[in-house]
Amino acid sequence: MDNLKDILDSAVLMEDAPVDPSADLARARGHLRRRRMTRAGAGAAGLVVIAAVGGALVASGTEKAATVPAIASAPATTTARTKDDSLPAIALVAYTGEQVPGYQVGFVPKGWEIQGGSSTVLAIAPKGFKNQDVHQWVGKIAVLLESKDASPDHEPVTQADLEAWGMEGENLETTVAEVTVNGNQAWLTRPKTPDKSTTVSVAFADDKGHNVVVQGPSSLNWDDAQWIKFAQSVKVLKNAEAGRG
Amino acid sequence: MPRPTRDDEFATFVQNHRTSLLKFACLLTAGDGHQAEDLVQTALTKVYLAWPKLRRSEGELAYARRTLLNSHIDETRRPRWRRERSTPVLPEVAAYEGPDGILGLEHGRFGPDGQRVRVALATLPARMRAVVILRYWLDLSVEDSARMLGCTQGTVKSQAAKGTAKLRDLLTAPSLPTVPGYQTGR
Repeated sequence: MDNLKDILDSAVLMEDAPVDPSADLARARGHLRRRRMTRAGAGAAGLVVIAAVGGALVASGTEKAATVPAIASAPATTTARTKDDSLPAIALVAYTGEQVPGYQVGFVPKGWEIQGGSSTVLAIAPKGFKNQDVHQWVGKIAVLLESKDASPDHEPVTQADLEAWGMEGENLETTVAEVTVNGNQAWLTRPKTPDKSTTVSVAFADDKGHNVVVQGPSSLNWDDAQWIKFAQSVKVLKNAEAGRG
Repeated sequence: MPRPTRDDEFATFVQNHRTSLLKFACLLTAGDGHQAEDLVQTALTKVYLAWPKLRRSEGELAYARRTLLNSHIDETRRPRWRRERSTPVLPEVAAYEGPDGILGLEHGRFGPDGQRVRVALATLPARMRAVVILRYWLDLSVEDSARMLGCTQGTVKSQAAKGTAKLRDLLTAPSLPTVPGYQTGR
Protein backbone atom coordinates (compact mmCIF):
# COMPACT_ATOMS: atom_id res chain seq x y z
CA MET A 1 0.00 0.00 0.00
CA ASP A 2 1.41 3.34 -1.06
CA ASN A 3 2.67 5.17 1.95
CA LEU A 4 0.33 3.89 4.62
CA LYS A 5 1.71 6.47 7.04
CA ASP A 6 0.39 9.30 4.85
CA ILE A 7 -2.94 7.54 4.54
CA LEU A 8 -3.21 7.14 8.31
CA ASP A 9 -2.06 10.74 8.78
CA SER A 10 -4.96 11.88 6.64
CA ALA A 11 -7.34 10.23 9.11
CA VAL A 12 -6.15 12.47 11.92
CA LEU A 13 -5.40 15.69 10.11
CA MET A 14 -5.68 18.42 12.70
CA GLU A 15 -4.86 22.07 12.96
CA ASP A 16 -1.62 22.82 14.68
CA ALA A 17 -2.68 24.89 17.63
CA PRO A 18 -0.82 25.82 20.81
CA VAL A 19 -1.53 23.36 23.62
CA ASP A 20 -2.49 24.68 27.05
CA PRO A 21 -1.24 22.14 29.61
CA SER A 22 -3.05 23.67 32.59
CA ALA A 23 -6.11 21.39 32.56
CA ASP A 24 -4.01 18.22 32.32
CA LEU A 25 -1.70 19.49 35.05
CA ALA A 26 -4.58 20.36 37.37
CA ARG A 27 -6.17 16.96 36.81
CA ALA A 28 -2.91 15.09 37.45
CA ARG A 29 -2.11 17.13 40.58
CA GLY A 30 -5.58 16.33 41.90
CA HIS A 31 -4.93 12.61 41.49
CA LEU A 32 -1.56 12.89 43.21
CA ARG A 33 -3.07 14.82 46.09
CA ARG A 34 -5.81 12.22 46.61
CA ARG A 35 -3.30 9.37 46.45
CA ARG A 36 -1.03 10.97 49.04
CA MET A 37 -3.95 11.63 51.37
CA THR A 38 -4.96 7.99 51.16
CA ARG A 39 -1.40 6.78 51.72
CA ALA A 40 -0.80 9.12 54.63
CA GLY A 41 -3.98 8.15 56.40
CA ALA A 42 -3.54 4.45 55.80
CA GLY A 43 0.08 4.44 56.93
CA ALA A 44 -0.92 5.94 60.27
CA ALA A 45 -3.52 3.22 60.76
CA GLY A 46 -1.01 0.43 60.13
CA LEU A 47 -2.39 -0.34 56.69
CA VAL A 48 -0.62 -0.60 53.38
CA VAL A 49 -1.81 1.30 50.36
CA ILE A 50 -1.51 -0.51 47.08
CA ALA A 51 -1.76 1.77 44.10
CA ALA A 52 -3.82 0.13 41.42
CA VAL A 53 -4.93 1.22 37.98
CA GLY A 54 -7.31 4.11 38.23
CA GLY A 55 -6.83 4.82 41.91
CA ALA A 56 -5.48 3.74 45.23
CA LEU A 57 -6.72 0.76 47.17
CA VAL A 58 -6.21 0.54 50.87
CA ALA A 59 -5.29 -3.10 51.21
CA SER A 60 -6.32 -4.58 54.50
CA GLY A 61 -7.15 -8.10 53.51
CA THR A 62 -10.00 -8.21 51.08
CA GLU A 63 -11.71 -5.05 52.32
CA LYS A 64 -11.61 -1.98 50.19
CA ALA A 65 -11.56 1.17 52.31
CA ALA A 66 -13.95 3.67 50.82
CA THR A 67 -12.58 6.51 52.89
CA VAL A 68 -9.32 7.38 54.53
CA PRO A 69 -9.25 5.63 57.91
CA ALA A 70 -9.80 7.72 61.06
CA ILE A 71 -6.47 8.85 62.39
CA ALA A 72 -5.72 9.22 66.08
CA SER A 73 -4.23 12.64 66.73
CA ALA A 74 -0.61 12.65 67.72
CA PRO A 75 1.08 15.56 69.39
CA ALA A 76 3.17 17.57 66.97
CA THR A 77 6.87 17.61 67.69
CA THR A 78 9.52 19.98 66.54
CA THR A 79 12.33 17.44 66.27
CA ALA A 80 12.49 15.37 63.10
CA ARG A 81 13.86 11.92 63.83
CA THR A 82 14.11 8.88 61.62
CA LYS A 83 14.22 6.38 64.49
CA ASP A 84 14.09 6.49 68.27
CA ASP A 85 17.74 6.15 69.32
CA SER A 86 16.72 5.74 72.98
CA LEU A 87 15.21 2.31 72.22
CA PRO A 88 17.16 -0.75 71.12
CA ALA A 89 16.49 -2.16 67.69
CA ILE A 90 14.85 -5.56 67.63
CA ALA A 91 17.48 -7.92 66.27
CA LEU A 92 17.05 -9.42 62.84
CA VAL A 93 17.59 -13.17 62.95
CA ALA A 94 17.69 -15.86 60.29
CA TYR A 95 14.32 -17.54 59.81
CA THR A 96 14.42 -21.31 59.73
CA GLY A 97 10.77 -22.10 60.32
CA GLU A 98 8.04 -23.11 57.96
CA GLN A 99 7.45 -20.86 54.99
CA VAL A 100 4.03 -20.25 53.46
CA PRO A 101 2.82 -20.03 49.84
CA GLY A 102 3.24 -16.71 48.09
CA TYR A 103 6.32 -15.24 49.74
CA GLN A 104 9.40 -16.40 51.58
CA VAL A 105 11.69 -14.46 53.89
CA GLY A 106 15.18 -15.16 55.11
CA PHE A 107 15.00 -13.10 58.30
CA VAL A 108 12.47 -12.11 60.94
CA PRO A 109 12.74 -9.94 64.06
CA LYS A 110 13.89 -11.93 67.07
CA GLY A 111 10.90 -13.40 68.87
CA TRP A 112 8.66 -13.00 65.83
CA GLU A 113 7.19 -15.63 63.54
CA ILE A 114 5.49 -15.94 60.18
CA GLN A 115 1.89 -15.67 61.26
CA GLY A 116 0.62 -16.86 57.91
CA GLY A 117 -0.13 -15.66 54.47
CA SER A 118 -1.82 -16.14 51.15
CA SER A 119 -1.05 -15.43 47.53
CA THR A 120 -1.53 -11.73 48.24
CA VAL A 121 0.26 -11.16 51.54
CA LEU A 122 2.72 -12.48 54.11
CA ALA A 123 2.21 -11.42 57.75
CA ILE A 124 4.99 -11.58 60.36
CA ALA A 125 4.17 -10.84 64.00
CA PRO A 126 5.53 -11.38 67.53
CA LYS A 127 4.97 -14.95 68.70
CA GLY A 128 1.61 -15.24 70.41
CA PHE A 129 0.41 -11.93 68.96
CA LYS A 130 -3.24 -11.44 69.86
CA ASN A 131 -4.45 -10.47 66.40
CA GLN A 132 -4.03 -13.61 64.34
CA ASP A 133 -5.73 -12.22 61.23
CA VAL A 134 -3.05 -12.26 58.51
CA HIS A 135 -4.90 -9.53 56.64
CA GLN A 136 -4.59 -7.01 59.47
CA TRP A 137 -1.16 -5.56 59.91
CA VAL A 138 -1.11 -3.12 62.82
CA GLY A 139 1.99 -4.00 64.81
CA LYS A 140 3.10 -6.52 62.20
CA ILE A 141 5.33 -6.74 59.14
CA ALA A 142 3.46 -7.19 55.87
CA VAL A 143 4.95 -8.24 52.55
CA LEU A 144 2.89 -7.83 49.41
CA LEU A 145 2.83 -6.79 45.73
CA GLU A 146 1.75 -3.64 44.01
CA SER A 147 -0.07 -3.89 40.68
CA LYS A 148 2.32 -3.80 37.75
CA ASP A 149 0.19 -1.08 36.20
CA ALA A 150 0.43 1.05 39.29
CA SER A 151 2.36 4.30 39.25
CA PRO A 152 3.82 4.37 42.73
CA ASP A 153 4.45 7.73 44.20
CA HIS A 154 7.67 7.81 46.19
CA GLU A 155 7.45 11.44 47.19
CA PRO A 156 7.53 12.25 50.90
CA VAL A 157 4.47 13.65 52.66
CA THR A 158 5.33 17.19 53.73
CA GLN A 159 3.85 19.79 56.03
CA ALA A 160 2.61 21.62 52.93
CA ASP A 161 0.72 18.47 51.90
CA LEU A 162 -0.89 18.19 55.34
CA GLU A 163 -1.94 21.84 55.20
CA ALA A 164 -3.41 21.34 51.72
CA TRP A 165 -5.40 18.37 53.02
CA GLY A 166 -6.52 20.10 56.23
CA MET A 167 -4.55 17.58 58.30
CA GLU A 168 -2.13 19.88 60.09
CA GLY A 169 -1.02 18.45 63.41
CA GLU A 170 -1.37 14.84 62.26
CA ASN A 171 1.82 12.81 62.55
CA LEU A 172 1.95 11.91 58.87
CA GLU A 173 5.02 13.63 57.53
CA THR A 174 7.49 11.21 55.96
CA THR A 175 10.95 11.16 54.52
CA VAL A 176 11.87 9.03 51.52
CA ALA A 177 15.35 7.76 50.81
CA GLU A 178 16.38 6.08 47.59
CA VAL A 179 18.21 2.85 48.41
CA THR A 180 19.20 -0.34 46.63
CA VAL A 181 17.67 -3.78 47.21
CA ASN A 182 19.49 -6.64 45.47
CA GLY A 183 20.94 -4.15 43.02
CA ASN A 184 17.54 -2.69 42.15
CA GLN A 185 16.27 0.79 42.86
CA ALA A 186 14.14 1.00 45.99
CA TRP A 187 12.55 3.61 48.23
CA LEU A 188 12.60 3.56 52.01
CA THR A 189 9.86 5.67 53.57
CA ARG A 190 10.05 6.64 57.22
CA PRO A 191 7.85 8.77 59.44
CA LYS A 192 9.46 12.07 60.26
CA THR A 193 8.37 11.60 63.88
CA PRO A 194 8.13 7.91 64.72
CA ASP A 195 5.70 6.80 67.40
CA LYS A 196 3.69 3.68 68.19
CA SER A 197 1.31 4.34 65.30
CA THR A 198 3.83 4.95 62.53
CA THR A 199 5.27 2.52 60.01
CA VAL A 200 8.31 2.19 57.80
CA SER A 201 8.09 0.78 54.30
CA VAL A 202 10.45 -0.34 51.57
CA ALA A 203 9.20 -0.46 47.99
CA PHE A 204 11.28 -2.17 45.33
CA ALA A 205 11.16 -4.21 42.15
CA ASP A 206 12.65 -7.69 42.25
CA ASP A 207 14.51 -9.33 39.37
CA LYS A 208 11.27 -10.78 38.00
CA GLY A 209 9.62 -7.37 37.76
CA HIS A 210 7.36 -7.72 40.80
CA ASN A 211 6.75 -4.42 42.62
CA VAL A 212 7.18 -5.52 46.24
CA VAL A 213 6.29 -3.57 49.37
CA VAL A 214 7.40 -4.51 52.87
CA GLN A 215 5.98 -2.51 55.74
CA GLY A 216 6.45 -2.75 59.48
CA PRO A 217 6.10 -0.76 62.68
CA SER A 218 8.60 1.99 63.46
CA SER A 219 8.97 0.40 66.90
CA LEU A 220 11.24 -2.26 65.35
CA ASN A 221 13.74 0.60 65.40
CA TRP A 222 15.68 -0.82 62.46
CA ASP A 223 18.18 1.31 60.64
CA ASP A 224 18.26 1.45 56.85
CA ALA A 225 20.70 -1.43 56.59
CA GLN A 226 18.41 -3.71 58.59
CA TRP A 227 15.36 -2.82 56.53
CA ILE A 228 17.32 -3.44 53.35
CA LYS A 229 18.65 -6.74 54.71
CA PHE A 230 15.11 -7.87 55.43
CA ALA A 231 13.81 -6.68 52.04
CA GLN A 232 16.65 -8.44 50.24
CA SER A 233 15.68 -11.72 51.88
CA VAL A 234 12.13 -11.57 50.45
CA LYS A 235 11.41 -14.03 47.67
CA VAL A 236 8.22 -13.72 45.67
CA LEU A 237 6.92 -17.13 44.65
CA LYS A 238 5.07 -18.08 41.47
CA ASN A 239 1.60 -18.00 42.99
CA ALA A 240 1.96 -14.52 44.49
CA GLU A 241 -0.39 -11.89 43.15
CA ALA A 242 -1.21 -8.26 43.81
CA GLY A 243 -4.17 -7.81 46.13
CA ARG A 244 -7.35 -6.15 44.89
CA GLY A 245 -10.09 -4.42 46.80
CA MET B 1 19.26 28.49 37.54
CA PRO B 2 16.74 26.63 39.68
CA ARG B 3 16.05 23.01 38.74
CA PRO B 4 12.74 22.62 36.90
CA THR B 5 9.98 21.05 38.97
CA ARG B 6 7.90 18.04 38.03
CA ASP B 7 5.09 20.46 37.13
CA ASP B 8 7.31 22.49 34.81
CA GLU B 9 8.64 19.41 33.07
CA PHE B 10 5.20 17.83 32.78
CA ALA B 11 3.74 21.02 31.31
CA THR B 12 6.49 21.08 28.69
CA PHE B 13 5.84 17.40 27.93
CA VAL B 14 2.14 18.09 27.42
CA GLN B 15 2.84 21.03 25.14
CA ASN B 16 5.25 18.99 23.03
CA HIS B 17 3.38 15.70 22.83
CA ARG B 18 -0.32 16.08 23.54
CA THR B 19 -1.31 16.53 19.90
CA SER B 20 0.61 13.47 18.74
CA LEU B 21 -0.89 11.42 21.60
CA LEU B 22 -4.34 12.61 20.61
CA LYS B 23 -3.72 11.58 17.01
CA PHE B 24 -2.50 8.18 18.22
CA ALA B 25 -5.63 7.78 20.31
CA CYS B 26 -7.87 8.92 17.44
CA LEU B 27 -6.37 6.29 15.16
CA LEU B 28 -6.77 3.59 17.80
CA THR B 29 -10.43 4.54 18.28
CA ALA B 30 -10.95 4.93 14.51
CA GLY B 31 -11.87 8.58 14.87
CA ASP B 32 -13.88 8.63 18.13
CA GLY B 33 -12.71 12.02 19.38
CA HIS B 34 -14.43 11.79 22.76
CA GLN B 35 -12.96 8.42 23.61
CA ALA B 36 -9.58 9.52 22.28
CA GLU B 37 -9.62 12.56 24.57
CA ASP B 38 -10.49 10.32 27.55
CA LEU B 39 -7.58 8.03 26.72
CA VAL B 40 -5.16 10.95 26.46
CA GLN B 41 -6.30 12.49 29.75
CA THR B 42 -5.91 9.17 31.56
CA ALA B 43 -2.49 8.52 30.04
CA LEU B 44 -1.21 12.00 30.91
CA THR B 45 -2.35 11.63 34.51
CA LYS B 46 -0.51 8.33 34.79
CA VAL B 47 2.59 9.92 33.27
CA TYR B 48 2.50 12.66 35.89
CA LEU B 49 2.07 10.21 38.75
CA ALA B 50 4.97 8.09 37.52
CA TRP B 51 7.17 11.05 36.54
CA PRO B 52 10.14 10.51 38.90
CA LYS B 53 10.35 6.83 37.94
CA LEU B 54 10.02 7.45 34.20
CA ARG B 55 12.98 9.78 33.99
CA ARG B 56 15.19 6.83 34.83
CA SER B 57 13.50 4.15 32.77
CA GLU B 58 11.62 3.92 29.49
CA GLY B 59 10.89 7.62 29.04
CA GLU B 60 7.74 9.59 29.36
CA LEU B 61 6.52 9.39 25.75
CA ALA B 62 6.95 5.63 25.46
CA TYR B 63 5.16 5.19 28.79
CA ALA B 64 2.33 7.51 27.72
CA ARG B 65 1.82 5.59 24.48
CA ARG B 66 1.91 2.25 26.29
CA THR B 67 -0.61 3.21 28.96
CA LEU B 68 -2.85 4.80 26.35
CA LEU B 69 -2.75 1.64 24.24
CA ASN B 70 -3.42 -0.60 27.26
CA SER B 71 -6.38 1.55 28.34
CA HIS B 72 -7.79 1.35 24.82
CA ILE B 73 -7.41 -2.44 24.62
CA ASP B 74 -9.03 -2.79 28.07
CA GLU B 75 -11.88 -0.55 26.96
CA THR B 76 -12.52 -2.67 23.86
CA ARG B 77 -12.88 -5.76 26.06
CA ARG B 78 -15.71 -4.24 28.07
CA PRO B 79 -19.29 -5.34 27.31
CA ARG B 80 -20.65 -3.65 24.20
CA TRP B 81 -23.41 -1.77 26.02
CA ARG B 82 -20.76 0.21 27.87
CA ARG B 83 -19.16 1.18 24.58
CA GLU B 84 -22.37 2.31 22.89
CA ARG B 85 -21.76 5.87 24.02
CA SER B 86 -18.37 5.95 22.33
CA THR B 87 -19.40 5.14 18.76
CA PRO B 88 -17.43 7.42 16.44
CA VAL B 89 -20.03 9.95 15.35
CA LEU B 90 -18.88 13.34 14.18
CA PRO B 91 -20.51 16.13 16.17
CA GLU B 92 -22.57 18.90 14.61
CA VAL B 93 -19.98 21.66 14.58
CA ALA B 94 -19.09 24.47 12.26
CA ALA B 95 -16.93 23.58 9.25
CA TYR B 96 -14.51 25.66 7.25
CA GLU B 97 -12.56 25.10 4.09
CA GLY B 98 -8.83 25.37 4.54
CA PRO B 99 -6.23 26.34 1.92
CA ASP B 100 -6.01 22.77 0.60
CA GLY B 101 -9.74 22.32 0.29
CA ILE B 102 -9.87 20.32 3.50
CA LEU B 103 -12.98 20.79 5.51
CA GLY B 104 -11.62 21.53 8.94
CA LEU B 105 -14.12 21.35 11.73
CA GLU B 106 -13.97 23.24 15.01
CA HIS B 107 -11.50 21.97 17.59
CA GLY B 108 -9.32 20.68 14.80
CA ARG B 109 -11.53 17.84 13.69
CA PHE B 110 -11.19 15.85 10.53
CA GLY B 111 -11.75 16.22 6.78
CA PRO B 112 -13.67 13.96 4.32
CA ASP B 113 -10.66 12.01 2.96
CA GLY B 114 -9.78 11.00 6.45
CA GLN B 115 -13.34 9.82 7.01
CA ARG B 116 -12.89 7.02 4.49
CA VAL B 117 -9.73 5.87 6.28
CA ARG B 118 -11.38 6.09 9.69
CA VAL B 119 -14.28 3.92 8.53
CA ALA B 120 -11.82 1.41 7.09
CA LEU B 121 -9.89 1.36 10.37
CA ALA B 122 -13.12 0.81 12.29
CA THR B 123 -13.67 -2.44 10.42
CA LEU B 124 -10.45 -3.91 11.81
CA PRO B 125 -10.51 -5.70 15.15
CA ALA B 126 -9.01 -3.50 17.86
CA ARG B 127 -5.71 -5.37 18.20
CA MET B 128 -5.22 -5.66 14.44
CA ARG B 129 -5.87 -1.93 14.16
CA ALA B 130 -3.36 -1.29 16.92
CA VAL B 131 -0.71 -3.39 15.15
CA VAL B 132 -1.18 -1.47 11.90
CA ILE B 133 -0.93 1.85 13.72
CA LEU B 134 2.15 0.88 15.73
CA ARG B 135 3.96 -0.56 12.71
CA TYR B 136 3.03 1.96 10.03
CA TRP B 137 2.11 5.18 11.78
CA LEU B 138 4.47 5.09 14.74
CA ASP B 139 6.96 3.18 12.63
CA LEU B 140 7.85 0.80 15.44
CA SER B 141 9.81 -2.36 14.73
CA VAL B 142 8.13 -5.75 14.92
CA GLU B 143 9.99 -6.36 18.16
CA ASP B 144 8.91 -3.07 19.78
CA SER B 145 5.34 -3.51 18.59
CA ALA B 146 5.21 -6.99 20.11
CA ARG B 147 6.58 -5.68 23.38
CA MET B 148 4.02 -2.89 23.53
CA LEU B 149 1.15 -5.21 22.79
CA GLY B 150 2.39 -8.06 24.93
CA CYS B 151 2.24 -10.57 22.08
CA THR B 152 4.70 -12.51 19.93
CA GLN B 153 6.51 -11.10 16.93
CA GLY B 154 4.79 -13.71 14.79
CA THR B 155 1.41 -12.33 15.86
CA VAL B 156 2.51 -8.80 14.97
CA LYS B 157 3.64 -9.90 11.51
CA SER B 158 0.48 -11.84 10.71
CA GLN B 159 -1.84 -9.15 12.11
CA ALA B 160 0.03 -6.46 10.19
CA ALA B 161 -0.23 -8.42 6.96
CA LYS B 162 -3.94 -9.10 7.41
CA GLY B 163 -4.64 -5.54 8.52
CA THR B 164 -2.90 -3.87 5.61
CA ALA B 165 -4.51 -6.28 3.13
CA LYS B 166 -7.94 -5.48 4.50
CA LEU B 167 -7.29 -1.74 4.44
CA ARG B 168 -6.08 -1.97 0.85
CA ASP B 169 -9.25 -3.76 -0.21
CA LEU B 170 -11.49 -1.28 1.59
CA LEU B 171 -9.73 1.88 0.48
CA THR B 172 -9.69 0.83 -3.17
CA ALA B 173 -13.33 -0.30 -3.11
CA PRO B 174 -15.89 1.94 -4.83
CA SER B 175 -18.00 2.41 -1.70
CA LEU B 176 -17.51 2.43 2.04
CA PRO B 177 -18.59 -0.52 4.12
CA THR B 178 -21.29 -0.18 6.73
CA VAL B 179 -19.88 -0.35 10.22
CA PRO B 180 -22.41 -0.87 13.02
CA GLY B 181 -22.71 2.27 15.13
CA TYR B 182 -20.56 4.36 12.77
CA GLN B 183 -22.19 7.14 10.75
CA THR B 184 -20.70 7.64 7.31
CA GLY B 185 -21.03 10.27 4.61
CA ARG B 186 -20.73 13.26 6.95
